[in-house]
Amino acid sequence: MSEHEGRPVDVWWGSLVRSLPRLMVFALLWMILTGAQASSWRIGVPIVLVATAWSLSLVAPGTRLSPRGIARFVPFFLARSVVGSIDVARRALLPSMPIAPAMVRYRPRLAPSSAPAIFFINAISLLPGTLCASLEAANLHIHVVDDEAGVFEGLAELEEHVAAMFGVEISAREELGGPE
Amino acid sequence: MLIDLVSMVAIGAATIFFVAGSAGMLRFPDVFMRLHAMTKADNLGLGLLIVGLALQASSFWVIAKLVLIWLLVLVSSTSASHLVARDALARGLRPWRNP
Repeated sequence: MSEHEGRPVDVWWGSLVRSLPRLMVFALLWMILTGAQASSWRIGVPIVLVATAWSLSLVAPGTRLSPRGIARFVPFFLARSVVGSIDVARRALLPSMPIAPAMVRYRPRLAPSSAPAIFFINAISLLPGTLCASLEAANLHIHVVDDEAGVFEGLAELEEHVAAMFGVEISAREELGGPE
Repeated sequence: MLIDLVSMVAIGAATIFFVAGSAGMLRFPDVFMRLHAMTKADNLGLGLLIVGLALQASSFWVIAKLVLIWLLVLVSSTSASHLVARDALARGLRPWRNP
């Protein structure tokens, strides 16, 4: 949208370059699905092109992920989901079943309904003891397994990781939320 | 030999998490707690299962496909649990509290 100036060829070339990452992702997916058999490209090339065009018409290119952000997010996410799973498994299997569930509200700092915010909301449910139940304009309603402290710290940390990965700025931690 | 052993340990651990997820499904008091059990315990269970299977895989592309399956299950289980929880709240279901 920002390229009203410039010759049509430049505009066309620019959008081609910006759709390349997506084209590569779909080509890689095709290779994974077919085990990279050379003969499969007879069907694969048209399918990858159609998928790229379709994807571009659904979500315009623009979101850039920071490689350093991803490199930090992946180990963080894996470690936290292991902790979360062991925690829930322990509570489910212990005869005393130690749970103290509660609803809390969290005020996200990421822009509402942006791609990073949606990613954040989905990641919440995979973290230790938190499950995103509903979102309103300013508050997320989150169900927690145990209403101990540390929930908000964990959410704020996750949000910062997501922001770094999408390369967006968010405000410093202030009032993060509270019990419902 | 060592690879087979690691593979067996990973798959064995995976079954423990699937059992725990199912135990939570049966024992936990309300729908929100049951969603915790399903999303978290089963995700690690599937992750470990995939690690165990990837060690036995014959080519890189098989491993990539297994990881892709894990990612797709992660995305679908977190979206599905969010939708179920949102609907339960919208119907006025209050979360269970410790008596």
